[in-house]
Amino acid sequence: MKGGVGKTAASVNLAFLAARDEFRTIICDLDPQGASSYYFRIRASKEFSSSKFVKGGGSISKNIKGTDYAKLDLLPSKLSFRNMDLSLDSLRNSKTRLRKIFKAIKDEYDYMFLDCPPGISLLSENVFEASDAIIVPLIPTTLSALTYNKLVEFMEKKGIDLSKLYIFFSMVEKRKGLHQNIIKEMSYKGKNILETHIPYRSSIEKMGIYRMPVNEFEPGSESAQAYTALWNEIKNL
Amino acid sequence: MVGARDLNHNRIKYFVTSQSQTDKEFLSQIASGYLINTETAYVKIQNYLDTFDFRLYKKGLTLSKESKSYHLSKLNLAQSMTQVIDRSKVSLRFWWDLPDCPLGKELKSCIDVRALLPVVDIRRHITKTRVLNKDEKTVAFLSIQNISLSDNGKKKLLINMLSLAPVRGYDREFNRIKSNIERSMLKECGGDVFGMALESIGKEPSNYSSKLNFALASQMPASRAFKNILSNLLQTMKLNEYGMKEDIDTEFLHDFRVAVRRARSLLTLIKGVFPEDVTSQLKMDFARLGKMTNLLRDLDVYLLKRQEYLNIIPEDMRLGLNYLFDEILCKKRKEAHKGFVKSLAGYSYKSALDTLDNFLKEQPIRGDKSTFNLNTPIIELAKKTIWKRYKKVIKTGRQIDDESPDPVLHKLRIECKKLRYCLEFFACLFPDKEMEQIIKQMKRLQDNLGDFNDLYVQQQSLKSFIQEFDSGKDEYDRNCAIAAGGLISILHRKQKQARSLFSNRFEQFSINENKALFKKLFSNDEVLA
Repeated sequence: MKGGVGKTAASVNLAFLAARDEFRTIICDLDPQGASSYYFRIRASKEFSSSKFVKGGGSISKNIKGTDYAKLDLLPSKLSFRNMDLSLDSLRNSKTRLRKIFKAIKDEYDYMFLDCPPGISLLSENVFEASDAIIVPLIPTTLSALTYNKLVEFMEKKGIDLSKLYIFFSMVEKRKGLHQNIIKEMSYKGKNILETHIPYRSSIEKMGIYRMPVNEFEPGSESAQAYTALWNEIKNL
Repeated sequence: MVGARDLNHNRIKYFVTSQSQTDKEFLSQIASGYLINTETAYVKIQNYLDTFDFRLYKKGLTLSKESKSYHLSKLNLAQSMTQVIDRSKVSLRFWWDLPDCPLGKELKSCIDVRALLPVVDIRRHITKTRVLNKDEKTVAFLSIQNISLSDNGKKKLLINMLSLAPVRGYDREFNRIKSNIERSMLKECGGDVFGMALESIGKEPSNYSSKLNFALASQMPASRAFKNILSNLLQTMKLNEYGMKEDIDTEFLHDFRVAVRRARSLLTLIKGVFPEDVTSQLKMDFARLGKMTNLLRDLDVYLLKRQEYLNIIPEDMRLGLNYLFDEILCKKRKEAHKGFVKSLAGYSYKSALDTLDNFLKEQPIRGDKSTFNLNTPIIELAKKTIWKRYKKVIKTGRQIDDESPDPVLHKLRIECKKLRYCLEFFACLFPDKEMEQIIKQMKRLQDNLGDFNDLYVQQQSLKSFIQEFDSGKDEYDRNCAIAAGGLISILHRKQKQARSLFSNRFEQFSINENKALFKKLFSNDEVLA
């Protein structure tokens, strides 16, 4: 929901691990800032745009790029994706459009990771509708409890099945008492909270320097191990 | 374990290269305008497996064993299905040696009951190079493979190959590198390394088939056509001798038997082509050869049904059934095989094959008053015989209703077999598409009759096994008898089911549309309007 909570880092590392498990995997970078595309050193072609994206069909398939890793593809983001809500809004069935868009490539993959931009929008509504699981990273702060409540409210209002919402704690600092308290509190009342916490570590920030998944350049690190544990939880959902 | 289409990979290009071209300069030249990143070379040893008749290769697949895994690959595509297997636990010979997995399922559908045999060992020395753009993103893969054949420990160079693999979404880069390679005069090759290896060791997969394979021409004299057919059948018999002796899988014996039966049928169904004394000698020989194989084949059929039987009886009876298989049938089969191998080495087998061999070499065939069809064009005999057999099948089948006793169905089964053999012998004289259609229709009817008969025979043999038990003797024999008894009643029910399907199957076969097709192809009468 919010920016800078570790959405892209999670998408990139989880997708990488899925592909390493021999699943045919794709990351769809829906964030106009294109961070996951950047991590994989992929640029979208000049002609690709949000209006092409929402049309779906051949233009999606044509714009998919192979990453440097076996079985892992990526649909790159484009700056024009910032107009996504406008593009979606101009269409009939604007709330269920995404499902249709992905229909053309659905059978090519075992897992699709949709890396979303921050905020709640028509696009997020589409994403929620099309997904089998909505995985939300939360930094354990008082504000994030609020964010979570807002999200649940939104989903309820839109009639989206709440049982597919999962959260995990991200950028957790063990030494911060506040983090620990909030985790305890939320785990207490929350449902569908994944057990693995992703720690606050510099190796995750280093992804931007290496432009690779953590599990590729520092496979033994605490972060890499945390993502592996998280992936193991998710694949068994 | 991934088998679905992988769009990236069906465009890999392979080129023949020479050893000297593996250097960095050469690669930079090919990938000019890009950065390259060469990874450390590694060696991959692949033990290729296939069935005796190359069932995998003929379907465009290759199976190789690498250090800890088995790979089933589509030829020419870098697309494969991989199964990691603990080799200390599994030695893959039949598909059922694998645990329940996608590879096992795929193999089952391709090789059925055939055994996998080692065909050739290949050693690949691979150097992979990534081609990178200015973002240092991989846009294509180049790899140099020095591929050699490992023949009894001796290394023999097969080919040095350069391959270019695309990355999805980077077509422009791929095409640019491809044209650079083409400009450097490297010759493109298919990348079918297994095929190259087979060629180099002098194996031609199409030579190992039990399918009928001979050429006939419509106007060919019958005696020559017969010789062609019998030569092919004799070759099949000889080809399967080794596998029968070594007991590699059950198909060797099966194919041998089919060849013998076909040979005998040919001589029985069409008369007057060879001199009477030759025909009766050969027929006697073939009958003897057939008989030699009966016991062993019956036991093979049983043992192959083991899993199926275990699945249909109640769980608490399985122990007894396993005992029946392990202690009785397996032992019997071992004995039967021993006896059979002995008879393969014996006089009557050798003399039968020699008689046929010598006769086929005889030129020209002497004619006498018994050889009234010696020079009849084969097409005439083929049409006449098929039409006659077809009419016989229809006549016999029409007499059967839901109340008819079992032996009538048995008779029809035999009549169908005769017709089927004739259709197969002469299929090459008639249009492919129509023959395919006819044979497909026949198969449906024959499958039903075959099921009905098999189920009957199985019950009879189980009864005879029970008779052999000393039921008072011990618990094992008692359990065994109970299991066999339970199985008999299930088989009986299944036989009844098969019987109830018959009238419908026969009706479908005897419809006017089929009749018109038979008439058009085989009858000399005018087609009725």
